Amino acid sequence: MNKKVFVVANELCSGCRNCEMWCSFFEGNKNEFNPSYSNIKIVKDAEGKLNIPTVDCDGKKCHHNEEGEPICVEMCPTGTLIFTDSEDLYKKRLELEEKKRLQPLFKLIVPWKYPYPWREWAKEDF
Amino acid sequence: MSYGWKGKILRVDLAKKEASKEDLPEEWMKKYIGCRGINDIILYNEVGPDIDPFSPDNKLIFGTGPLEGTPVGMGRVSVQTKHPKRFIGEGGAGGDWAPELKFAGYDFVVIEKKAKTPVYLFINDDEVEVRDAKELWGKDTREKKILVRDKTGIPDIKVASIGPAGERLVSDAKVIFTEDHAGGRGCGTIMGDKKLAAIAVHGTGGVSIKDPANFLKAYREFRKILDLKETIDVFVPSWAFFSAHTMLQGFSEVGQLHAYNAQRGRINNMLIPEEYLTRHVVRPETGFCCPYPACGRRFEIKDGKYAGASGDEREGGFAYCAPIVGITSWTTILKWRELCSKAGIDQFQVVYSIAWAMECYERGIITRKDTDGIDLKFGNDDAFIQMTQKIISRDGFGDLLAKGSQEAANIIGKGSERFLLTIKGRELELMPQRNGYQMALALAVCENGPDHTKWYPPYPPNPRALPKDITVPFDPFKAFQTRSPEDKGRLVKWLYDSRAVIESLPSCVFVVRGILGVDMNLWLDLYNACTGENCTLDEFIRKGERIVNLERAYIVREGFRRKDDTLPRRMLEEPIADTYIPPIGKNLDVMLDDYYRHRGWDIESSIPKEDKLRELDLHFVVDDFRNLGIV
Repeated sequence: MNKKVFVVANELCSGCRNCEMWCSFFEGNKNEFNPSYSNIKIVKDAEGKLNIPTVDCDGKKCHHNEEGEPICVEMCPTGTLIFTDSEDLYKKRLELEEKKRLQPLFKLIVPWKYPYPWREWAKEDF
Repeated sequence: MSYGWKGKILRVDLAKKEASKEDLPEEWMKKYIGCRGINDIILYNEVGPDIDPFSPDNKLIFGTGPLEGTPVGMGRVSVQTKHPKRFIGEGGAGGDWAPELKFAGYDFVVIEKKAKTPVYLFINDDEVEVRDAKELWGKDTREKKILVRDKTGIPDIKVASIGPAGERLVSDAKVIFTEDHAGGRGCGTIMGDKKLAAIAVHGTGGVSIKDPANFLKAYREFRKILDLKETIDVFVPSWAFFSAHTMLQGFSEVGQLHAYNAQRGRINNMLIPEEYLTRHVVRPETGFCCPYPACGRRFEIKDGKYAGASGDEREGGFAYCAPIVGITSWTTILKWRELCSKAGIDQFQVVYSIAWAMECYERGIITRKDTDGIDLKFGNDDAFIQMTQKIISRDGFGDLLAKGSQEAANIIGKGSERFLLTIKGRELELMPQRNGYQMALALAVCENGPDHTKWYPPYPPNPRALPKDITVPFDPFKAFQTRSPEDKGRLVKWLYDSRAVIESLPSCVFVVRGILGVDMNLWLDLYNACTGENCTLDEFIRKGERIVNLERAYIVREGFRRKDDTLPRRMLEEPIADTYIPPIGKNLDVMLDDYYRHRGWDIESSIPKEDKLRELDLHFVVDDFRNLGIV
């Protein structure tokens, strides 16, 4: 049984609405981008102080890619949307808080999606 | 119904307060792609050379394209009008406004005539209304947004508005879309002249596409190219978080800045992006469906003189404005950024005008008496902020600078025009020229004053990193020599044509990284999958070329010729003082000849030749030129 749950690290949300658009694509007519079909809505206030992704979905019945991620999690550029089991979740959240203290970049992304530095330097680069 | 499109143009007559809908001609969709391309043809057909920019007959066009509303569109909108200086006033902006317009059921909004009293336009799907905006007038863009939300009662309404700068007709005022997305230099001025305070949009529809499977496949490929871990482009990982901030230190090292009004290429104590990220950034804040995690960021200043200033910034270009006036403090430049986006004023106009005035002040051409007692020296933070406020409120010396630095130099005289950094009467846009000849040429020939987004990114592809299976229509090794005039004509032609396509889809030019910048096949796949057309690569680029030729035809009709395709005197005659990089001099003429030759334009006058226009299916331009006696 799939025990994974949806969690939102909303302090990282850039308000880009990639999740909203792709969710609507698969939840609606499968050929239309229409935010009214989406199970995710990013709530923004007119003052621009906050972006809050609200998820009305448990991530179990919607479209998943080959790696078992829902489409919204795949398309999220910052890693705000987290779909994982509850034991792993605690570890990840802790890792995020720790990394945020050490490296300011993690104000903007999650460490498990984009480990820093991004890749091993290949020898031929030098 | 065509896929991707809504197929509707909304025309709004402000004098009669009436709106009407008309069908978007299919011929235009095929010939000009959309967005910037179709705006061009509307402007060409409807705003002729006899129409004054400030007459009621000038039009303001907001355009989107077939891919807008899909994640590839990235919220881009193109605003277009006849600029107060008579060239094309065009600019793109991101934000949530453009997709909302598509969801409301329109591709284009054309604003006609002038209102007698301030009004705002309210679009809620089929309901379109020109409403009274007495309370909105005089407020800044953020206040306008909140007022419109309260008046309409729709919490997530998307607002495009002008600030006090546009209302007071500052020469290059901008339109501000949703969260501090600014676009269209000069369009805010015309919007203010038409007394249109804001356009509020709410839509509940969607955008359908023809071939979902291929679209998803191409989009995944697209994201992979821009993925930090998988990209082949060295710029992507750093751009994804710092955007243009990433090169602040690097450009200062190699002397590519316009420091102290472009007298020098370097500045001591250059801003450090890490400091910005650690102290002032709160979280990422990007435009609609931006694939980068943090191409834009929200900042809040927590302490110091400017505590409380906040805002969103994207693409990071504003930080390069600091060295132009010799500023080395993040808080000052962030406060200034907030002032500009609240006022809806063009940052480049403000910073280059003030830098010009600072140089005149230091050289004794103007004195403290002229500047209303402000000690206008390079690096004086307070003077910089005060003068910006004066420009916005058109007060005293600020009123002179609000006309643009070129007009101000004409009024002041005394040789002050020697320090101007303007092309076609409009201030530059940060791009260095003496260090990169492709940028010099591209800025000189731009159809709407200097505008770097028409050919971004500025670096030619590294020939050694270019994948073997990709051929480009220029010699990459020669084009890569940035301080030689060789082969820059073909490079700049390719940049203009391909970026015209990307801007007309529309998509954001700041995602043109890696092979997206040299190989148009992926863009073509996305376009074909969305619209269901069977366009070939050649036709696709040809459409871009057609758009650029149409824009050139427009400014030729307005009287612009080769003599206007030039650079500021400083770039042509003076070396960079601290790096000894020589001036461009006669190399510009060599590059211009090359460029016009490859374009098929007349070398003497820059007028597109008849066979080129006929080849691009622009027969009506040929007739137009004959009727007006241009050829």
